Amino acid sequence: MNDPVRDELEFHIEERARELMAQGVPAREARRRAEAAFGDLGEIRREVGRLQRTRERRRSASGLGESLRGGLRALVRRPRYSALVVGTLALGIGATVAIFSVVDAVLFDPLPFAEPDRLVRVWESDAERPNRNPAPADFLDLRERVAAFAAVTAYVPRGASVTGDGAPERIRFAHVSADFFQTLGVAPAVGGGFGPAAVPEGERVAVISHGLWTRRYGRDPAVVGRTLEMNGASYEIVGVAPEHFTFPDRVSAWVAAPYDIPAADFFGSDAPTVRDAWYHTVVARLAPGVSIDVAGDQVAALGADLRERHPETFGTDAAFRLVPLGADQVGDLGTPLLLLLGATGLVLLIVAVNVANLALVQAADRAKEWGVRLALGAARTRILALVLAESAALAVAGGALGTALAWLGVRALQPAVAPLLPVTTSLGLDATVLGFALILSLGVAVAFGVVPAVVASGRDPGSAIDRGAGARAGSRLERRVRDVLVGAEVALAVVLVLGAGLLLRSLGSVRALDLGFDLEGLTALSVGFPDAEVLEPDAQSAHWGELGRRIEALPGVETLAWGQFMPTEVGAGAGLRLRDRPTEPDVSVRWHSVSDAYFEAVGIDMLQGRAFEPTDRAETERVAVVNETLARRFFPDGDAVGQWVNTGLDGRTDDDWNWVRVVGVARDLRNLGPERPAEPMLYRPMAQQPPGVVGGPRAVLHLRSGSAVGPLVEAVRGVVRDVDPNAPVDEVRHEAEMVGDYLAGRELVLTLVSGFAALALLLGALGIYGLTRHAVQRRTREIGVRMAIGAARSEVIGLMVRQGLAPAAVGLAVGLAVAAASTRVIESRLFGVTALDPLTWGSVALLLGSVAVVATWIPARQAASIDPVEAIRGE
Amino acid sequence: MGGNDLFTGTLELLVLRVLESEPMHGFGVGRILRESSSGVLDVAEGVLYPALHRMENRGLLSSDWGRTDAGRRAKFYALTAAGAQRLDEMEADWARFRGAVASVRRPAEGGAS
Repeated sequence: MNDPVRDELEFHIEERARELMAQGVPAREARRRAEAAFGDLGEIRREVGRLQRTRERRRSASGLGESLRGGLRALVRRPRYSALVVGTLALGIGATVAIFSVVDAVLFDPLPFAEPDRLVRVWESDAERPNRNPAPADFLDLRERVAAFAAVTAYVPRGASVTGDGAPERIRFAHVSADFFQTLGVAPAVGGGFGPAAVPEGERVAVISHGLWTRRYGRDPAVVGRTLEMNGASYEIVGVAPEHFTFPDRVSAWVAAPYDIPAADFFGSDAPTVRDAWYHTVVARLAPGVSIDVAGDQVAALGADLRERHPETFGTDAAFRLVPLGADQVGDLGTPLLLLLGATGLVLLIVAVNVANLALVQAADRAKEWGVRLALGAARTRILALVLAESAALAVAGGALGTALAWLGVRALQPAVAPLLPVTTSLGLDATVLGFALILSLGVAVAFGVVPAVVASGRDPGSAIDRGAGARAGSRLERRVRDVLVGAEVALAVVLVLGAGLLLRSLGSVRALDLGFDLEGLTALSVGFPDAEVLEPDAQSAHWGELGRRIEALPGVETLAWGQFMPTEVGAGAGLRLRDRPTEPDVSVRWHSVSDAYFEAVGIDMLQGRAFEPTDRAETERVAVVNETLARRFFPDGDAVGQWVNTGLDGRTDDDWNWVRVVGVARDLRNLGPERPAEPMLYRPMAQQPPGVVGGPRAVLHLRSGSAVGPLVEAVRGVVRDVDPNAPVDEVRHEAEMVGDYLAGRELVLTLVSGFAALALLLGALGIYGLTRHAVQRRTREIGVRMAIGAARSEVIGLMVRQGLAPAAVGLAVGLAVAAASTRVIESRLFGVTALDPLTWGSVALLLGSVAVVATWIPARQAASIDPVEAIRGE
Repeated sequence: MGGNDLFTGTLELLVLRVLESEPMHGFGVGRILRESSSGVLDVAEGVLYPALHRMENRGLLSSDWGRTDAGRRAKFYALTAAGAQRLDEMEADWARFRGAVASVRRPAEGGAS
């Protein structure tokens, strides 16, 4: 019966027969003559049938293209709908792609090394310190005695003042063993780099970063052999690192360390035998074909040997630990990033649901068109293809626009994200990210295209055309689907908004925490001191003192002190020994040398004993102030004051002079951020600072002032310039920025998640609004009748609101349930608030509920303003 | 007859002309051809339908099912853009051909002999 050729010819025969009958020919004879006119009717039928089949084959071959073209035409005809869908998709896809590009760069992109998965970070760990860097002699043992390692390098990041041509500036540099670049598999862009063997003491060679090369040497291709003036010494430049390579820690230069033991200036030629200083980062490359497990066994064997032979330094419970370098570098950045990716995934889901909803409204509006197509014999699959093609066209357009948005977003994110990244990664849209965007777009197309397509192709053609009772029956399925979609949207929005709410509460808790010092009015400036290496500690102290006196004379300065580190910096590490408890295992503590007014200026309260005084000089008794954590841990009886301690930096313990007397206990400074516990900290007076301590020749000026800091900082710069034109003043941090240091990562995650949550809320509201509005339009006549027979405005509004709110309420409940079941995901990011915080949950439920009510109430009010007469007549 | 190029080309031109003003089913095309040429151009059904389908395959015509004035279901043919262009070309060719034919004089009329 569904043979178009037979139908076509049959029509002809019937018409012809009718014509003949009108001329008086009997029916049977008319029919016979009409058929005879064809000659061989069977043959004609076959011939035309062949032609028809040829056409159908050709059409199905070009069917996709044609569907696409048809889809595009249909979209151009409805620009408002298309723009809405493309815009919504672009937001969702753009957000997801932008975050994915960061995730891709940080988590999935290999480090900028050759075969990065063959690199491992070597840690030592014992009961006290799970993450301890290997000591110099341990490092050399690892290098010589572990066959599983093809190469082992050590490095220490440091700060330095660069002078010479151009303005003085402070940079970070890495003090490295000579095989640093070979081990990582990075070849210099210019020059040959360091030789394979350790440089002799006194030889000063450096590789500079691409940035420094550009900044200070104008990309001079003949830069090799020129000098880098750093910390008052001249380094011969032997190479330029590749662009973007600033590993580790965004450094601008790499300096080869004598004896291959970085930053061991203090130990001189003894450095290779030192086993009690633990600040070298050690990275090893696995030998070809050797697995990390085999290497693990070999370092375990070495650890056993060291426990036996050096129990007093290595420790009797210490062992080596290997961590793939990639995982080591990402550290705890992975969790928030995946959290963000999850959030964008939710946004994208909401977007897909919203668009499916929009498409469904369209489908309802176009029911007639499709009904006609079906009635005319169009295959259901063809309509499905058409609808899917439309979705695909929209999704690709949305994806393209979204990718453009992502590109802009990544550029905007770069400055905020860069400081949080472990290595300098250039964020960008590479092939992986673009491929991801394409797959995402098509996935979304299928997701939101299938629903209306199924609803549309399942429609009964007749009912769709004559919009009779059947149309309403057909729309019941539709309404149910739309209810589910809106419910899903609300549920997803609930999850996101809840997440954002919990993060916001956490940020609040972190902010409210006591930092242990007084931020208000505090400014910290890093002041370089290029000639530091030639000054004795006492003279250095005198220099800072003189500078301090001049700055103190500036108007607006209330108190002022010097330290080595910003209040938010971690500080140097040093091993601590106690004189009266020689059996106590050596532990690493933080070490900070400060001027006498430090505690007062920074606002750290003294709990016991005294702070430093101007009388604490190089030649007077060596003294220290410890923080409460150190005091509690090592002197639990509260008798810290008066005890004798020694750190590796103070010199050998066989000399009585090198023992330091504790004179005071200060409150903990939360230098790792308010949410992290304080570490044991030892303060020493600057006048007694040992030469060559880690931290570099700079001092941090802590300034408390009541006046505007901007002009004050300028005045400080002027004073420093007067004293030493080569001394750079940089890293100026005001109170807000210091808090920012702690909170940057948390705030970034919160900002992004909040943005996504707001987007989700908006889309959810739009979904509810659209649903109600559509219901109002569809039921205009019914509402008109109700009002004509006396229903009150409020009853009509109530009816429509109830209809819109039902799916929203279900969505809210489902969303809360889903969120409750998945609190584990976010728990690690929360602070000072539980994942089931009643206040947050209550607020979110209230917020979502209010949004749902408003979103239904607005269109419902329109329903009540329908003119009954018009409505009834209009149908 | 089917192999006659001139005739096939002519039938194509005639069909395009008929369909230029409005879409029409095959039966209607045949009837209009017959009536407007006073019965001279009576195209056999066995020729007309394969021709229509061939033209549709070539993209000159599109077809769609619709209802006749009397409400019966029929397959209606309409000119596509390509068909309209083909019609213009054929009209021009035809005019040229007719002009050429007209300009060839009969030998009897021409000479003084």
